[in-house]
Amino acid sequence: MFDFIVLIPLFPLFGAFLNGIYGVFRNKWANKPSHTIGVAAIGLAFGLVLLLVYKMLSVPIVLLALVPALGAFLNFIFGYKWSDKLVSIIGVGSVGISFVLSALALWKLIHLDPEARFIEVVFYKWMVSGNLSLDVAFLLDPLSAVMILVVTGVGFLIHAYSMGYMHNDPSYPRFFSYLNLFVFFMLILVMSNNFPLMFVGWEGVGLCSYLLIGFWFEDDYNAYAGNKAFIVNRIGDFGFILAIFLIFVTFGTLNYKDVFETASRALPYNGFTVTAITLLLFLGATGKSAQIPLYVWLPDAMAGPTPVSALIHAATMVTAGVYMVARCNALYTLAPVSLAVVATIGALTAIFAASMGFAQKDIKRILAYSTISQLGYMFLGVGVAAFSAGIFHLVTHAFFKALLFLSAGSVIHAMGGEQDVMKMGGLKGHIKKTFIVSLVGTLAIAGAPGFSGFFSKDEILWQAYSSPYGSKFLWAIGVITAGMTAFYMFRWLFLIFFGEERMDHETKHHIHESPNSMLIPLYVLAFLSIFGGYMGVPESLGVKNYFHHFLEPVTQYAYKVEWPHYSHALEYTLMIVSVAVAFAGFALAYICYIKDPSIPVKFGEKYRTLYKWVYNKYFVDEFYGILFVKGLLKTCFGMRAFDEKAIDGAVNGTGKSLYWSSILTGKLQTGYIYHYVWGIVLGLLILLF
Amino acid sequence: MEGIQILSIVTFFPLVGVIALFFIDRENVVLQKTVTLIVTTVAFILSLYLLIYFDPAKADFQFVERHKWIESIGATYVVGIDGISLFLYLLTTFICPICILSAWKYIDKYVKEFLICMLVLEVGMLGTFCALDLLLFYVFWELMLIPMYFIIGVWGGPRRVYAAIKFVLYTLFGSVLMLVAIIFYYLYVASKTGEYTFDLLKWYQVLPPFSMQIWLFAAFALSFAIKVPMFPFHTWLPDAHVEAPTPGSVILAGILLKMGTYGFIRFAIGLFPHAAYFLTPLVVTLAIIGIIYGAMVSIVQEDVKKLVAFSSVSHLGAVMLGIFAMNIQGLEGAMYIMLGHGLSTGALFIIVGMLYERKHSRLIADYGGVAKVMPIMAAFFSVTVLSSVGLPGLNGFIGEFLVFLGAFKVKPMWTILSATCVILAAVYLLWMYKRVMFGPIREENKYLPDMDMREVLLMVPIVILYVVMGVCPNYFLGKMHTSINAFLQGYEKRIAMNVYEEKVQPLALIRGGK
Amino acid sequence: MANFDMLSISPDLVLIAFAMLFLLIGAFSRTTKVHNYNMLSVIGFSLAILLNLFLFGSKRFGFYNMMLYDELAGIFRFIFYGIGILVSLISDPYIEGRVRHKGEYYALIVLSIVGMSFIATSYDLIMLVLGVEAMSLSVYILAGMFKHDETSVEASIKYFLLGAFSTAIMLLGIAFIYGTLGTTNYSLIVENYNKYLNNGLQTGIFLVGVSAVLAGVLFKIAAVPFHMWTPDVYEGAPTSVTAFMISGIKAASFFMLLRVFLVALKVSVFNLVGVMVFISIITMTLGNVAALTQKSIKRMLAYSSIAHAGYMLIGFVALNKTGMAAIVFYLIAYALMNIGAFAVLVLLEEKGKNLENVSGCGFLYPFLGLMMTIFMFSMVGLPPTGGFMGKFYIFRGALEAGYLWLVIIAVLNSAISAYFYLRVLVYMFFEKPVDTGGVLRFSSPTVTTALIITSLGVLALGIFPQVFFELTTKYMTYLP
Repeated sequence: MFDFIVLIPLFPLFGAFLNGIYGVFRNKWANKPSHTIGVAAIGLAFGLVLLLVYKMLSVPIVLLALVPALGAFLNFIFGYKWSDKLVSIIGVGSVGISFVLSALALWKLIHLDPEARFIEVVFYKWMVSGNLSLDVAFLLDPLSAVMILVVTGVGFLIHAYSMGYMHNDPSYPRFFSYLNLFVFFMLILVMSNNFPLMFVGWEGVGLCSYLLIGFWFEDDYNAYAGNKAFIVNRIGDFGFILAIFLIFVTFGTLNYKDVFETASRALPYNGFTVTAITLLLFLGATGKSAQIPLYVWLPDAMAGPTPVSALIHAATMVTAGVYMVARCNALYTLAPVSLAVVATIGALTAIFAASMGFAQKDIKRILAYSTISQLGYMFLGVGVAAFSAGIFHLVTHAFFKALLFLSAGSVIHAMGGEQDVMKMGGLKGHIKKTFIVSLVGTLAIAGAPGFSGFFSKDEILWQAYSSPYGSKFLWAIGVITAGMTAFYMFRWLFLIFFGEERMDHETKHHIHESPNSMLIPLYVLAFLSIFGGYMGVPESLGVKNYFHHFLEPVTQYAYKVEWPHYSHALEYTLMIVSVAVAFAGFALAYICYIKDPSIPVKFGEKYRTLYKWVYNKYFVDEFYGILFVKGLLKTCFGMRAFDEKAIDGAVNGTGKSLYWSSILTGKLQTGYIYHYVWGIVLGLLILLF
Repeated sequence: MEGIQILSIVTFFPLVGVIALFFIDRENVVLQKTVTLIVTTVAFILSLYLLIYFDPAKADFQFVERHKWIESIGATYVVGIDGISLFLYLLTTFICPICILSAWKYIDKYVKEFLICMLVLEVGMLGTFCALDLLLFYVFWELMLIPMYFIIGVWGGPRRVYAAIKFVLYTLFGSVLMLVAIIFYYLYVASKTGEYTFDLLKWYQVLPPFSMQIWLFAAFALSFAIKVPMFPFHTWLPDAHVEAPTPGSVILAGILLKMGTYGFIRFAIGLFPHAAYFLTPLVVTLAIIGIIYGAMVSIVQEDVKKLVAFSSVSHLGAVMLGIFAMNIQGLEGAMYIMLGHGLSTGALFIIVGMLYERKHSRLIADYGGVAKVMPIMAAFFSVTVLSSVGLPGLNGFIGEFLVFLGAFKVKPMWTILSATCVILAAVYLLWMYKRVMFGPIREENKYLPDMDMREVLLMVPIVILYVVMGVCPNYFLGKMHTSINAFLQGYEKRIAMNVYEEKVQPLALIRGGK
Repeated sequence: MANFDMLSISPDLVLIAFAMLFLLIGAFSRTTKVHNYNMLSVIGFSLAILLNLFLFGSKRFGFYNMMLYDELAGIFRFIFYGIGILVSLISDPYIEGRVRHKGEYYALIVLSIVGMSFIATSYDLIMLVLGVEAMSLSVYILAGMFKHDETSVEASIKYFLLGAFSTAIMLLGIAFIYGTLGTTNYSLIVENYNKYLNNGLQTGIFLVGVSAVLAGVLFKIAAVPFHMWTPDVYEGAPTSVTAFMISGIKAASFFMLLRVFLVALKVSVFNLVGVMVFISIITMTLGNVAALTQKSIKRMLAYSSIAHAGYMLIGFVALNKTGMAAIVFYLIAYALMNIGAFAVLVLLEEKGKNLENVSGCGFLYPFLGLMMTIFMFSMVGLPPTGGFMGKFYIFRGALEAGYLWLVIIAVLNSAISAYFYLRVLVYMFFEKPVDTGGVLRFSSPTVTTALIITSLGVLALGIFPQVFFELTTKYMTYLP
């Protein structure tokens, strides 16, 4: 009955495929006849997909008859100049469908009793080699259900938003095909039921982020940023794949269920192997989710179009690491050391990135650092074994961060491509709607009580304090970060929408509110950012924490440790503290950027060096550049020289030596008969002995 | 099915083309190309017969044919394939028509001779993969040198003469020593069984003493290692690749290199297991060095072809690692990389050739931003690059995954070291791709034409195969299982036998044999 | 049996008759075209072959045991006559207009082949020397056939003087042997040796004699260090004659090696093996190394012939059936590929003189190109050619005898040799055509025939060597 979930990833793939073909051959198909071929090809692809549908849902084969009909239909309507409309229909539609299907899946899942909420659907045998046997099989359990819903839901909204944002971009179809492809891989990532398949998605999303960051490849910097992202991610993947091997060697299988079931029996608590596995996996996570030390690619990733930043580099892909840790809770709970590492890295990243957000001027880069910092929160959550809390924050963050990015996009759209917040200000009068949604987003992320961010962040903080893996120290960092977050987010908001208008006259003249196609998704997201939090209201407030309970089965194989009990009173106090700190951050921002904008300037002059360090992100990029990039290149050049001089030199040297000896022997032929006679005599002597 | 001698038919079918070409007017170039294309394609279609009727459950050789050849020295014409050689054989028949297509415009002089060379080359390659008689194998093995020598030397680039001579001499040095080893072992077998024979299957029955195995293995291994090429013996490859014309490079990378690895599996290890076992550390070390070294050197190449050539060194190193991991994952992974590499690297060379036809330069620096003017090329190029990088979902990943898994089972260190090529591959290929395809476009590149229908047609089947091999590898692996398992069991069985007591000097032994 | 056994030498008698005929024609009608002679000599050799075929299989002594006709001799006669046919074929267009005394040219070729055939049937050292002289004297003249070409004359003189010198040494050796054993008959030598061994045989002098004879033989074989004459003579002599020397004389001298040292002097063979090994190594190495940098193709082939002599000596030192049979097999392949290569040179004429000139000929004259390719790869020893099978056979023999390291040296040598053989192809195919003496003057049907015969022969030896292997091994009856 759950077979249909196979289609959830397939539809985006289908969209990607169609738009891809169209995007590649669009110029070739400018004239009618060959365009027919194109449509026919696409029709064929459609047919294949229907075939799958048939395979999955046993829909009557009659559907296949639609294929030629479809081809003709497309031709009839759009003729040879195939408008972007169809592209949008395919692109957005496919994601829409899979969103509906995922909703359906969740619906069906909820109606099962909690123990049964673990469904595996085998699509087909992938590879078998010796004792290694892998299926292309999908897993539907509360965790993946939540994830696919977020991915397809937010994905759908962002697709819709892109229709307006990317409007009349020359390579519109290419954009949508990449975006769909991303959704496909992301779904594979979250739905797979074994590690290698997850790795497929894991790498796939990396690829799409590479393609989308470098989407406007005419600009060298974009292409560079794309490469950087992919390569840094590959470093993480290196760890990930080693982890997979280690898992296989240890468990003899790579299937989640089998691994997690046997984990607690097969491996000793806090043993070496499990620690190694989990740390290697986490290395992968640091790459994908931009944690210390591999976070450096994310700020540059802002080079991509804004919807991409929203979807991939805020809402979904970068959270894959968190999902993975949560998925592997059975392993992580066995390795307290790794958990500590995860939590610490998370906390450090959170505060570190937040501090870097202070001095940024690019409207998107600020959000990028805040993303890194928020991801740090999530890792802090899962790091203290509060997996549901982590995932909860993941969800709410997806809402409000997508919201923020998209409204940033709307602002950029309004400003005609301007991204420097220092050249903005006072926009709230011009683009009211955008301002409102941005305000919602900011409040949410700052953790204003009642907004989604408040609940999720607060739960993480509380767990960081109360969990047996947690500590007051972690909690403290978390709270401070909360304050900093409030500060830089409001700085962001104030610099854009308040204060005097710093943009030049020309742009100011053109400022305009975005079209509805962009605004409606914003409204939806705004709504979610406010009310999304009520899924997981903390128990202490006397309400049932639906989210937590829903996710409970996921952690059934986790290694159970005794959780200390604290009074609700303590929880309230902590809650108040964090709110207070957040408010302090807000107040500070208010003072600095509304009341007296001269303060930050003075501050900057007073502590010039500090400011410089913060502004330049502590020169980490430069440091990496010298240490790794330059170093690598130097070694490579050295090796190349070695190859040409030493190894090839030896080869050619042999030839040369032969050549010279040949010249010498040639000299023997003097041409004088008596020399030759001596030769004969010599030979005779040789014979005589 | 017993009736038709399909292997001989396919193997020698290209000669039909050669004969046909003799009768075609020298001027009528198009007809010559068409005929050759048809012949090679038919050969491919015929070879599909093997794929269909191949019985994956049978471990021993199939489609076996035996004919008298040289009774007086016990050389017979024996051909047959098993799961190991099946796909290499098919890869050959598959690549050849594509090469002809890729040469369509590239080869503009002496077309007839070129086509003849290609056809003869195909015969040689097919023969090498299906020969089960050592002398026959050697004949085919050397036969490949001759046309390849001409292809590089006549239709190659500026330094073609140097490259061609280097290629032939280097290969020859290896293979003559192999010849000695073959004759030597042939006499040894005779001295043991009293029967003079070159039949591989009969040779498998005999197990020489360790002191002898080492030397014989060394001789075989050297010849194969040069062909692969393994780390210290690789320097002929960049020259040959850079100078060879597109189809030459494709054949070279796609198939000739696989002969080496194939030879390791079938002959070097199959015949001398103890020596292989004893020398595994050495070979693996060289393989790992090759993996990292090749990758790192290719990072800093200015010439795309050179870059791809060194990437081959790296990939083939992975194949060697997989083979000498000596477990099912390793070997199947190695086989899979061989096939995948044959496709993706071949395609890379084809694409470089296309670029070269348009701009007459292979230097990365001369391009940039080309994706703007040729989106189709960009698409195919990117897919190919990604498959070569080993992106999951395409063919490259499966092989690497299995190989590294297999190696990890033996010694985790091997994998930890060699899997760094996952990162390095991304560096050199994507960096190259970025510099060629992305960035601001130069004025003189603004009017480069995009791929035409022919070029699209010859790329499409390759790309489809990428996906098929990446998405459902089980179809391919399924046909290998039995043979590779049998191979491994045989290896284990022979390894178990004790050959160390018999401390006997080869020379004396031969004298005894007389 | 009949002492004056004319039947056993009937082929040679026929040939002598033809030689006389040529001389007469030459004397009376200078204007006779070369191809008439050519036709006649082909007919003559064919007759000889037929007669030999008729004789083949019988084993007959004659002329008071001065002569022995057995299968091996038969085989070698086939080889010689075959060489005769091929050489006449390639001579046809070449000497036309170059040589005034065409009749003499053909007569000398025929006579020298008769000499070889006498070597093949000789069963007495004196008889042997007669054969050698008959062969050599004719060739001395042939080498100088181009009277107006200095190099040709120089070659002739050099060859004559050195040849005479070596023959002298050989006779000296024979004298020593006669002095110690009192006979020159092969079988008697063996008998007497065993007889006198225990009562006062001066083994020292006997061995000196043996070495001297060997020296003479090695001179004809052109083994280092008796090779010095080879490059100059082979380069100087008319191309067709060089083809003749390089194939025929080599074959004849190796027959001497087989017959004399395996029958008459087999007692002393084992003393010689050591030095022979040494000689074979330096012969092939020096030959190959020196050939690497030759500019003139003929000179290069001269050195390569030295190298091949080295390979064949390996077969001899193996001192076993396979090795000996291998020599014969190798000689056939060797003769075919060399005559073939020289036939190509004959057609290339001036172009063929040195490497630069053949630039681009491969594509200018595809047929010649193809032929040259076959012969060169055969000389390298790559399958599927006779050269490969020959090497394979020789190495097998040597390995049976346990000369592993010797074989390794040999194969490395053949790998080196690839360089200069392929260099010919480099110039023929890889280089742009250069204009030297314009197009070829003629494309001759006879030479083409010769080329087809040789190339097919080379390939046949490479792909279906079965029958030759059998033949050579079957009749390699006597061994030390």
